[in-house]
Amino acid sequence: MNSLTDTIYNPPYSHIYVEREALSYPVAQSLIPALAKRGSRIIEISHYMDLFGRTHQSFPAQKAAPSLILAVKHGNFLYPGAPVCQDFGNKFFYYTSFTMNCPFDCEYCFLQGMYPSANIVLFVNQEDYFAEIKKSLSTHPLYLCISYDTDLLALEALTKMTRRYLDFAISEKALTTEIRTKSAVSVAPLAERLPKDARSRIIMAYSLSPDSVIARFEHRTPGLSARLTAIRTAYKSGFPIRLCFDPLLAVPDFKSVYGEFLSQVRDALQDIPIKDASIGVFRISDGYLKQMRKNRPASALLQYPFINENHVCSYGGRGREMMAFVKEFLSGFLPEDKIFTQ
Amino acid sequence: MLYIVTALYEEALPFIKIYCLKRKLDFPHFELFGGEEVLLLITRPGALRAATALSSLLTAFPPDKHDLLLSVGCAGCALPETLGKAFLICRITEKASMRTRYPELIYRCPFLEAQVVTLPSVCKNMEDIKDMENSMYTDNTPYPIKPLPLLYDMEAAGVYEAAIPYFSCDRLLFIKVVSDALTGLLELDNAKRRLRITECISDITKALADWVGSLICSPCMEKELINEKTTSSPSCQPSPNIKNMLGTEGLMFFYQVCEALRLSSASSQQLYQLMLYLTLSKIPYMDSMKELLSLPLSKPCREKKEGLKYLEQLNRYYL
Repeated sequence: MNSLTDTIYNPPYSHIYVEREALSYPVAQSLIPALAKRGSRIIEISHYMDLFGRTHQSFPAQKAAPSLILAVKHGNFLYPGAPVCQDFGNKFFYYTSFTMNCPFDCEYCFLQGMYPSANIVLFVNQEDYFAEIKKSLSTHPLYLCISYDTDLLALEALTKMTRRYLDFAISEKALTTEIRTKSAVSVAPLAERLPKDARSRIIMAYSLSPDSVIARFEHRTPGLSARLTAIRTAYKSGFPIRLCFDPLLAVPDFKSVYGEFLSQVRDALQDIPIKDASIGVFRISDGYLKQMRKNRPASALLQYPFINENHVCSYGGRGREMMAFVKEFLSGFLPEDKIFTQ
Repeated sequence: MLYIVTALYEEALPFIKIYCLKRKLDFPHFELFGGEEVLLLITRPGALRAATALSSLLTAFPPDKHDLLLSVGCAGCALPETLGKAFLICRITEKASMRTRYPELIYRCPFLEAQVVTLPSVCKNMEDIKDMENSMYTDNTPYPIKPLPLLYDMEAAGVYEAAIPYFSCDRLLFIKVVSDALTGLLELDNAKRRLRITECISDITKALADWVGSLICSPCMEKELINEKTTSSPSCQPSPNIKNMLGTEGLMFFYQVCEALRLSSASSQQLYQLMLYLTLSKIPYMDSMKELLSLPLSKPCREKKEGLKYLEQLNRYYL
């Protein structure tokens, strides 16, 4: 969608739906007046699923004009990490979702298969999450990914969820956090809130792709150069850096495209000590893929004839070759024990 | 295609004129008017009638992905400042069940927004709706949340429930014009009431038609339509659940190869997926595939195993 030329659509977050229960929370109390001031329409609702869970929603249409839903999370706050995701050797690997959905629009994103809606849900009761995390930490250390079902840094200017989380995480020495992002937002202001030892427990994980892949499939995301700059800023701010070459996509001339891309990454970051890197090809559950293909029937990327192994669709043998190629390249400037493959 | 739904002929009249619609006599049970890419249905008052009529229409004339449904009609409202104004409906509540539905609000709209409650009958008594007025307005919230005007009609909930199986949320538009302050215009005689209703709708018909026209013919919609049209041929479908995106020639070739290789339905699906991927990637494959399959195309495989080997060969070659 060309956001600048499409005048038929409302601007993003033109409508804010707020659960009645959410109204009394400080997050809602600070967000609502700010959004109302810039012209957003505030609509009260009973439960976020009345809106988020509607039948026959159009994910692509909502991506053109997403709404924001403020809600109170009930039930589980922590989830065990999925087997398809890398645990980087951590035994107690969990993830949490302060927010559902992402402002970017990547064609391969699993969220469009998992969620019925592209609207962004923001859970305002972060304190309940913190209580659950503390409870978990009382029995074992935790490796927690907080930006899996979203891009928390991309939403930071709007939500300020990350800084509230970091304020909580400062004192939790057994808690290691990964914040994954495609954004080029500077994390220097976040670093200023943390002492040096606390920063070492917050891993900034940057998803990287070649510029041609970004242009074609990762809509609304910053280019590679901007992300590499953001990585350097994050490193200077004292955060450990993780590079995520995930998902690798079976594009024509894969070796040429990715070879050039990896050279660019190496040249930009070779003087920075990288904590680790992860490599993974595109992989998705068959159920999610079915929904994703329904949302984007004309997407060549999603209509690739994937191999279905145990209900996970991926590239099969070709995918293993792709990963081997990238791993070999990365081994040229990263120790092998720092390279994790899916 | 634009589907317009109204409860009364008086509400439909301005649209019949502006779109030059003619009565369709081949739809006998309900009043249906048709024109170039427009269908207008008059459902008669009431949510049940609206749902019944609309379901019947959408079964007979099923919509495509890009079609729009516009539900338009009169409503009552207790707020005097809303009289004569048109509103885009963002929340529909059915009073009988208190079920609430939220139409999508992704399009820029020239009208203000409001919520509507669908009543089972014309509201003649403020007492009947006092509980609704009290529960819907949030005057006790601590923030500057301006309550949405609360309108009352008799059809919106029925139209939504009937339409949602056929349309995605963003293709349903509900417009209500406030015609009365909860009197049902019963203070007027029949002739004047009909005239008033038509006048209310006439005042917004041009603006509404322009707006809806822009939604149907937007640049991004056209781009999607062109993309689908160049790769689809509605007359041929390999299976009921798969829209053909190979094009007529591609589809004929697909059938030819399936027959030549004696593919099972699962293997046919694999072949279709491969061809679809190549088509969408704009990789010319037909000539090379004909060459690779020259033998079985001239002399079909005797066994499925033989056909599978050719399928594997195709996957190795193209992927």
